[in-house]
Amino acid sequence: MAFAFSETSYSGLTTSVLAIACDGAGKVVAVGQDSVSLYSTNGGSSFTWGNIEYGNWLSIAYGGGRFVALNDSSGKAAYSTDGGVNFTAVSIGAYLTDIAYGAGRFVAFNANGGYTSINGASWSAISAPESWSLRASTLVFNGTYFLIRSFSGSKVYKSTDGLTWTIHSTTFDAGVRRVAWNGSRFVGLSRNSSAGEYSTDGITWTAVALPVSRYWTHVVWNGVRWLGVAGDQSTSAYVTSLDGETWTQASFTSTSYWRALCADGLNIIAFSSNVMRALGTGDSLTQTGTATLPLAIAVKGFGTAALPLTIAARGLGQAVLPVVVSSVAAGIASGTSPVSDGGSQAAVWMPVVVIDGVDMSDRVIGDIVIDAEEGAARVADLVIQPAAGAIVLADWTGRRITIDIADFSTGTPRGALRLFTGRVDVPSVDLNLGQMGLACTDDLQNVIDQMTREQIDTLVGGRWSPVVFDKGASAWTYFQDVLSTVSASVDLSPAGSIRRTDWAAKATADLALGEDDIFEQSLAVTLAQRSSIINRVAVEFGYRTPKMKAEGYQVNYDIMEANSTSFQYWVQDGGVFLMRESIVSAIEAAHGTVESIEYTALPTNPVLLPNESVWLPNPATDPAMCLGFTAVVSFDYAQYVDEQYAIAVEAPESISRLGALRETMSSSLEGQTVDVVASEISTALYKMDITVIPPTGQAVVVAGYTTATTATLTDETNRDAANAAMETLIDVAKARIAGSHRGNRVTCQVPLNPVIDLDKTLSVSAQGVEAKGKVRRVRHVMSGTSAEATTEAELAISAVGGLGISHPSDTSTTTTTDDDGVTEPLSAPVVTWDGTSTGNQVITITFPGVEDAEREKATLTIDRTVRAPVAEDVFSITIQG
Amino acid sequence: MTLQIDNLTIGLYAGHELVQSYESIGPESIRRAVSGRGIKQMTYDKLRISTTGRGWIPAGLAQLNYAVTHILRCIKPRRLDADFATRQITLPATRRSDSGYLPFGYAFMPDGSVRTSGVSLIGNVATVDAVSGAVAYAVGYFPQVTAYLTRPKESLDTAGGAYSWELIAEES
Repeated sequence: MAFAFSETSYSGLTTSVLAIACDGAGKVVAVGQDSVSLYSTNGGSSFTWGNIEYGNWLSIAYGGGRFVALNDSSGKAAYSTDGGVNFTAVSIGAYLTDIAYGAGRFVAFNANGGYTSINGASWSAISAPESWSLRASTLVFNGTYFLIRSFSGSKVYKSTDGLTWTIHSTTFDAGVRRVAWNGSRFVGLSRNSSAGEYSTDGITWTAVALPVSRYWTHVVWNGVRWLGVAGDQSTSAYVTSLDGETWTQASFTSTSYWRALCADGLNIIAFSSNVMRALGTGDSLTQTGTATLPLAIAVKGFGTAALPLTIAARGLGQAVLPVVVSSVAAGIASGTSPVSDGGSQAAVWMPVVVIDGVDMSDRVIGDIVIDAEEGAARVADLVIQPAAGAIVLADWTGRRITIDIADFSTGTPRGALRLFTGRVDVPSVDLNLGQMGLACTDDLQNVIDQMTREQIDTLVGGRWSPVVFDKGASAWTYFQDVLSTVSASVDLSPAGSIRRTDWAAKATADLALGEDDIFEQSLAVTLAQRSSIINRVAVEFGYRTPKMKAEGYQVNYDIMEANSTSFQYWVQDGGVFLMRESIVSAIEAAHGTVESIEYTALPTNPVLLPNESVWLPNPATDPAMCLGFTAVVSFDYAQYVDEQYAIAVEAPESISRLGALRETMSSSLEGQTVDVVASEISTALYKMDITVIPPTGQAVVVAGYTTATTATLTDETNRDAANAAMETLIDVAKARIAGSHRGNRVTCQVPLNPVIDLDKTLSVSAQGVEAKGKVRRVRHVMSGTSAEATTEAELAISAVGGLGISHPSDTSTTTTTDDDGVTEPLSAPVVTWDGTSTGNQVITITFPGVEDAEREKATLTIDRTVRAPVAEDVFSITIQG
Repeated sequence: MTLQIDNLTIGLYAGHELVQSYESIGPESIRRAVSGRGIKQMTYDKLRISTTGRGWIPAGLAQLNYAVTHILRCIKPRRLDADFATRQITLPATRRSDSGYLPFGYAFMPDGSVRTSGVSLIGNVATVDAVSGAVAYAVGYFPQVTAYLTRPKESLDTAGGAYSWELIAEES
């Protein structure tokens, strides 16, 4: 849609609107003669009457949340804090004609001088750099400085604050009434002329030609185009330009004095003397190119890198990306020359506190305290004096905050180093003092809670076993469980990066603190209590596994042998043969399983009996009978085996010096398979060919012996899981032993040094104390009342026997195996059968059977000793006489 | 001498006896290391300006808004020594630039006397006009401070017919 004006007549408007201002977000306020004020909340589409004191309101500007208008006939100003609905008039004491806002204040001028005001209510005169003769209507602020031109066309005056003005001699078209800025250049149009001019610095101006001569008075930029109107002439003409150099003529529908002009975003609003409002619309911003940003962001730890970067370059405006690259002196960065210690001269420092991207350093009152401790969230406490006005306390919760300390010796913060990155956890308010307390945290637990278990494993290392720890634990609990198996701590750095730091002191200290560094009366030593030391951890672990066992019996029976006879006499005396089917039935009746069976078959040829008769084979029935058999029969059953492990994790050298200081840990695991009884049954069913589904575990049958095998168990309860659980317990024990030996503390206070942190090893050599250890806790205090900036560092020193004492250690690996090869000779089964002519011919096979004692659980006790490592840090104290 | 607070001018009739003093304010501390080394720490450095005056008419201080900052144009000059070779020194940007209160030069003579000398300014860099025989140069300037004012003390001595007042300002 092309740019065009739509015009609306305001019938109730009986006098002229003389000036318009807007806030750039839809609020437009117009003022004029005879107490005229109008306001719009929709970018000038419609207006409503406002209330303003009677007078001739000549100009208006917006800034700092309020509109301020000037009355050139009464020496008054009027300000509105409600978007032009109501104005409050105040006396300035001077008759001012033109106004602009910038650098946090309103600046107003007449031809001979000016006044400034922060709020439109209280005004102060501006000191003129010389005797002023101004074209006051050319007053403009370009985002960096105010500019106003002399009446004669020979000077411009600039000021960055509206208070102090510099003089610049130049030449320009003195006919220009008003000047506007679009982000890169000033443009003005000359009254009663077909000329305009532009300038990038306000000093050197370049003339341009307009297509028509008019009494041009106003010019405006809406992000796309310049537009100028002739307020001192009744005309329908206006001119537009995209660059301020080439202009084209266009026309309003109405001919009038179009004398009030402003742009609210892309909308251009003009008022004419015949109570007409024109709203210019149709401009849109087009993409004129693509900007690329060669930006690399290295993400360390598990944070998410985000660059919420939006650059809106509208029309001919300049896009600015205020990237600040700061360099920090090597001495500051290394901690050898912190900004809080000037060496031979005073250190001048200041805190830099940024909350949600806003520098609030000058609102901090009193002390800032930052406390970081191994394994805990870093916290910060401070008090600020908020700006006057309503405070929604809840809005402060969760705000992002960073705290730095910087060198302030030049009056500008330099060499800032980060002390804290986090969020406001609990805001509070002191109603008497009007101050707000901010308790802040680095949100360690929440950061951990956002991590996956794989990420935690990568960060921490260590072991984890569902046997020892809670399988369904949260990420935070899982993290703590894994962390309990290593001699290390995890925290967030002052910059908010997550990191693991080993407890062991580094071979070379990061910083060496001597008597020149440590504040007097701050060095303190605390020795570990013997009762707090652990040097032996008895790890008890029980592992119950179900065993599948099988008793294998070999059963032999021979009719002839059992009856001390021969086939011929057995037949002649009327003896019968064994029915093969009855043999198997007899075994099964005894609840045995036939593993294998071989039968002694009947003769296949006629046999001459002693009484000269002949026994004739019967091929139809003989295969169902036999003269005897040899069978292997099994009885399957299950048994629980309890393995009781007693693992002593200990530091032998510590025990020899301090005596045994014990702690006990225990855990257990029961192997899980299908129900044991069901397993037994399934084995039997499989062997009896009733089912083709093999059982989950089945002992190999060996005739004459009892054999066993461990059932196939779930992954979480099998032998590997048991070994992992014991290894986890051993590592927990090692970490507890190592941690308990770090109970010696060396504490000292030095000028605040941001380099001193939980990942650092410090050496201390002062007042007879020689120590080296890892920082366990650090507390930074920046006192705004005393100017003291201090760091209190607490070192954890691991020491038992002193340097040179070795504490060898064993691996935590456990490799136990299942012992299934238990075999015991079995007594033989008994076969009874009377196949004589008078016998009952019933075969019975009696097995020894599975005794209850064999089904009851078995217990195995396994003892083992594992040596745990203990560090020996530098730690000696010499009492100075 | 004319003291100015924003557009309030305290001239001769309200302040024919003006006494103005400057005091640097800001926390500072000196602590000792174990070795005895002094470790001095400071933060900001701001100016406290105390002005007392006597005059024949009230100074008009009651009309000031004591909740906001004001621009105080001081009457007591401060001195900065210039580099002898270049006779130059950089002055604070916040200084009076109104007529009668522009920076001025001192030339120190071998006999201990001091002569005033002209000063030329380029931006904030002042150059003292050369004086034959001078052994040192300095520049005087009148501070102009954005400050909060403490509500003033005002009194009238009917016997002497003099109005007295005291005003304390602290740099914001």
